[in-house]
Amino acid sequence: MPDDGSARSQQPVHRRKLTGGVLAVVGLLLAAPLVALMWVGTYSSGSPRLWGFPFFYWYQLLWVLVASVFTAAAYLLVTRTGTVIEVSDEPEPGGPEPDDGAGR
Amino acid sequence: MTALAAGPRGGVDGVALTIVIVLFAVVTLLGFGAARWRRVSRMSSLDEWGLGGRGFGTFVTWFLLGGDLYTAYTFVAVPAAMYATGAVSGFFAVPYTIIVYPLIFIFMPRLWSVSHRHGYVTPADFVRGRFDCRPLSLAVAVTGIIATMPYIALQLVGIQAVLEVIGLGGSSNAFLRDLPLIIAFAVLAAYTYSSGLRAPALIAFVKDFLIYLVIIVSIIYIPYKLGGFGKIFAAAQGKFTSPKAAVGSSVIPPAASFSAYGTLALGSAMALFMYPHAVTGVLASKNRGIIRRNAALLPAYSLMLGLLALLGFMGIAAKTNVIGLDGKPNAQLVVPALFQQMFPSWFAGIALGAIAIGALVPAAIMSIAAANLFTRNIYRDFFNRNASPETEARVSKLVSLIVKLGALFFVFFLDRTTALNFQLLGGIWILQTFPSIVFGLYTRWLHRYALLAGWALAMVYATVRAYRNINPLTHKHFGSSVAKIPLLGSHTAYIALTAFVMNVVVAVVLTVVFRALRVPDGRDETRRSDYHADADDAGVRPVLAPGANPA
Repeated sequence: MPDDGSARSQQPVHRRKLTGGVLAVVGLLLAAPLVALMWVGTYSSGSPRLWGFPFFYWYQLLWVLVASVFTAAAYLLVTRTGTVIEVSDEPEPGGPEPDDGAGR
Repeated sequence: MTALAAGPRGGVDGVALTIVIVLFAVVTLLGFGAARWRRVSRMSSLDEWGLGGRGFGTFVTWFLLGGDLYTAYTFVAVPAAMYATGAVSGFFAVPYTIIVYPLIFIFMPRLWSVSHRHGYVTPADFVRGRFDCRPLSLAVAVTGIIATMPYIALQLVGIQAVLEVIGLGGSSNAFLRDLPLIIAFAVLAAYTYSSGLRAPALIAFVKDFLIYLVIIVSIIYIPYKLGGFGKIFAAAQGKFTSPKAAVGSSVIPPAASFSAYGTLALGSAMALFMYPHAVTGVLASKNRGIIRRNAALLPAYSLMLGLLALLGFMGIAAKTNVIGLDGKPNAQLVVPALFQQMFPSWFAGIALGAIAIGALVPAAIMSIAAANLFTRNIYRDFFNRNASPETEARVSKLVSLIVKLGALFFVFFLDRTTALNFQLLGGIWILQTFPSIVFGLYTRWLHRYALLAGWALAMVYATVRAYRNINPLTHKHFGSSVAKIPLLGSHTAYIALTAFVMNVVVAVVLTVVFRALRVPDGRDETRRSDYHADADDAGVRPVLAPGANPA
């Protein structure tokens, strides 16, 4: 079948392990636009206006920029911080069983 | 608007038509020339034809995904919805295209990694490899194809709107009327066939440049002519508060619409990257980080979409003539007609050409993605398990033609409204593949047959629910994609999201049952490290299409 499992298993794959605090910040940065925009009641109003735009419109357009900055910040955090660790194919203790779980 | 006297839309606008034809010719040359662009090996595998060699960097991917995701739906249907009924059915596209990027930031890199390690070309490829269940991967593939077909048809509706505004298509002869569209699509089919994903990737540069140019000019020039944004919003307010206004239309959603607005945004965001053409754009990138960088860069297009949506309100303020050549009002004409009304002919030509080319790029990528699904998950999995990469590429190229032909038939033999209805249904359907694909990227706890059952139930529920939504004005089915949430009284929500919740509940409950009954779980061909692999990790490149391995 597709891949050459035997050769691959000798080649380690690495990823960055972030500290709990950084992970929480990344989570907040990514969740903020979702929470803010799903909470329609906080912005369904016509005032204050900006250049003739009702609040409802300019607020959401502003979130385009804010979300973009937040996502960029999250990108920098996940690529610049933390320590590089090797990814093992063994399951983490207490983690989901990645292999054949028949009859588990 | 003196031309109005000549008929519902006036005669043919020669200058605009000439410019549209010139732009189309430029794009056609690029499309055929693209076969030579960044070519590293023969075009005889899906990695080459269907994924452009899997080598696009951040810059190209930005244009490709931008050109891919922001379609005729963005340029024509969203402003049309704003024009017809205002914020709830139109402007939710803005929060939708904001929320989508943090979402894909989280799970897309995993899909990229596992796909590159195993040579997966489609999301259904991943589902098959992960859950060892061809019925489930077939369900994902078929959902992808039936959701994509009307989406391609919608691109045609966009091109049709442009042609109609230019004045083509007035002939009473059905064949002559549709001839320009047939020619445009035949040319598109030809270069997609020969160049694969490289054609829309290259054309996306032209598309995006033109679209940004047009949007910047219109967002400054049209409000200036109309007396500012204050007047534009006031005109929309006037329309939606008049006694003749459509039910539920508003400039700012009332409290009763909050849940509809929010769930439309969230459900659409979750659905977007389940579409095969979106996955194709991601898998064509050359390393794991590109999609994350693009998650921060692609919102530039969302800003454009938000401004474009407002063109619908500008159409109201400008009293744009949206009477079609058939003598009936058609909201889909509002943006092209507004361009023709406000701009001198030469710039109207550029703007209309931008919309037409804007529809060609996604149509090409969608037909490639649907063809790949058919080839990999129907043809290979069920008819020819030993298909060589050459065979796969040949089948895909052929199917991409059939898919486009199908979309043409869709538009000619069903009407435009049907295309829009099915596109709306497609979004509802495609979200039902989310548990298999996205949850599957993290856990194999959900049982394969439970996922299948959840999918099936959600598909039936959502289709029936959407069918039973009667439009209060036209009394036709598929009136809207919002319905009351069962058990939650008067709250309304996007049907896709309600069905998704049912889907997940069924999948979880049945998983518990199947595990208790020890129903076999199948073999997972992926490993933990596959979900983190990057381009420099061994085993990722060079990519060999499955089947290429002699073993």
